[in-house]
Amino acid sequence: MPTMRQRITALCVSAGIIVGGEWMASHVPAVEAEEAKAEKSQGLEVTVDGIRNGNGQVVVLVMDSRDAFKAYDYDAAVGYQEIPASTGSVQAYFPDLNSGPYAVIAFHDENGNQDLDMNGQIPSEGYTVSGAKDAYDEPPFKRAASSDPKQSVRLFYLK
Amino acid sequence: MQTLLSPISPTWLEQLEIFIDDWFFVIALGFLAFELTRYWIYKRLSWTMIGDTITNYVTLAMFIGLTILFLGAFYVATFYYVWQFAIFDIEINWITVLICIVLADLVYYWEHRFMHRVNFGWATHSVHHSSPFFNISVAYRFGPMDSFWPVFFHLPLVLLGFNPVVVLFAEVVVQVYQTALHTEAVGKLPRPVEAVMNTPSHHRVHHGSNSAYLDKNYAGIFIIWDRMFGTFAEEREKVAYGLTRPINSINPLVAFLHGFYRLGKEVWQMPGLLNKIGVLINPPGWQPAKKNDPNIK
Repeated sequence: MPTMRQRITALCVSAGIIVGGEWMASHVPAVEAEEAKAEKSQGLEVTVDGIRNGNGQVVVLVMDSRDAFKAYDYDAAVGYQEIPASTGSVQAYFPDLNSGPYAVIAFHDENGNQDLDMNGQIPSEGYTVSGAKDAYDEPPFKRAASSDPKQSVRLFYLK
Repeated sequence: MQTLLSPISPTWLEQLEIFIDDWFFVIALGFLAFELTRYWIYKRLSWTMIGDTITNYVTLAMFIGLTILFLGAFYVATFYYVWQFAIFDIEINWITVLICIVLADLVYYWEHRFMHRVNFGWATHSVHHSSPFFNISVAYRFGPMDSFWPVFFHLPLVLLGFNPVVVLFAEVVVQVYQTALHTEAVGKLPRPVEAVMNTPSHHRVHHGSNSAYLDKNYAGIFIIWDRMFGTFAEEREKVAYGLTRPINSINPLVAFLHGFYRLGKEVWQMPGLLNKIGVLINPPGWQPAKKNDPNIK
């Protein structure tokens, strides 16, 4: 026959085991959360099509906000790459861009001055934004942006 | 490790729980046939034993009826209500489910000890112990409130953070393991097993009315709780199954209700309100200390 002291000790030990056990359980991670992240963390791959020659470079900008996209703001871009141009298409890969949606701006910097040269109001080099249907289309961020980890854009040359 | 840590959906776990519970019932019926055949070969099979076996399943039917009508919704509602206030945030995967099973087993120990040592708990649990036999069908012999008291004992697991579905699953695992122990067909298992796990031998002791065996071996899965908390007894002498005051009946209604009838009678016959409450909350057989008793000084 256990004494009252033994009973109380036993109850305290049990309470300790239960609280400790649940505390341990709360520290057990879920693996799939990481797996899902690993699966998701494939980055963003942008294909730029319609490059007319291999002069200079193709500049690719990735925007994750409406304001940055609207202002064509280099500094606010979450991704920026210069890829040597080649006739046809080039690809830009951004491994860290995993939480879209993203809008893409690209232009063909043929003279390598790191700027989209303008002839008055008209760009004199090839350019495009994602979601644009033609050279004069200025899609809003909502339409331009996509969560697809693979995006492709086609350059428009007006001159 | 990957599989142990990958998340388990609560719905899937619920289905697994039902699957285990139902199929174990079917397996237990098969095992019962084996046990009865064994008794027949040993010439121990009697009509009383057959009647008692049927009574076991009748009490199960009444128990399930009451649970579905009154307790099921209460059980689930209480769990989910308390879960809102959960302290820890716990993932559902095999590791956490295993931890929950171990903790639910410890909780079961206390719930079981309470049902033996507090008279109003014993009123329902004594139904399970009222069979003078020990075979797997006895495991399905339940009292009217056998699923009520466990609610309160398992609430802390939910309050601390386990998903109610996980706690219910763990309860079923403990219950199913315990069920499997109700047999005379298995002797003692290897010593390391007997040291850590609850076994048919340990549980036979629990069902004994021998004075050395009374209020011993409350464990569900792990006998270590009894060893730790001083309620362990080893199976040595032959077990006399049943109650110290046998019901001597195979009538299902007598079996199902005798505990509450006895409790009601004890409370009714006890003089004084405080003493009546004393009968309810003290161990079965409690008597108030007599001040004028010449035997007590």
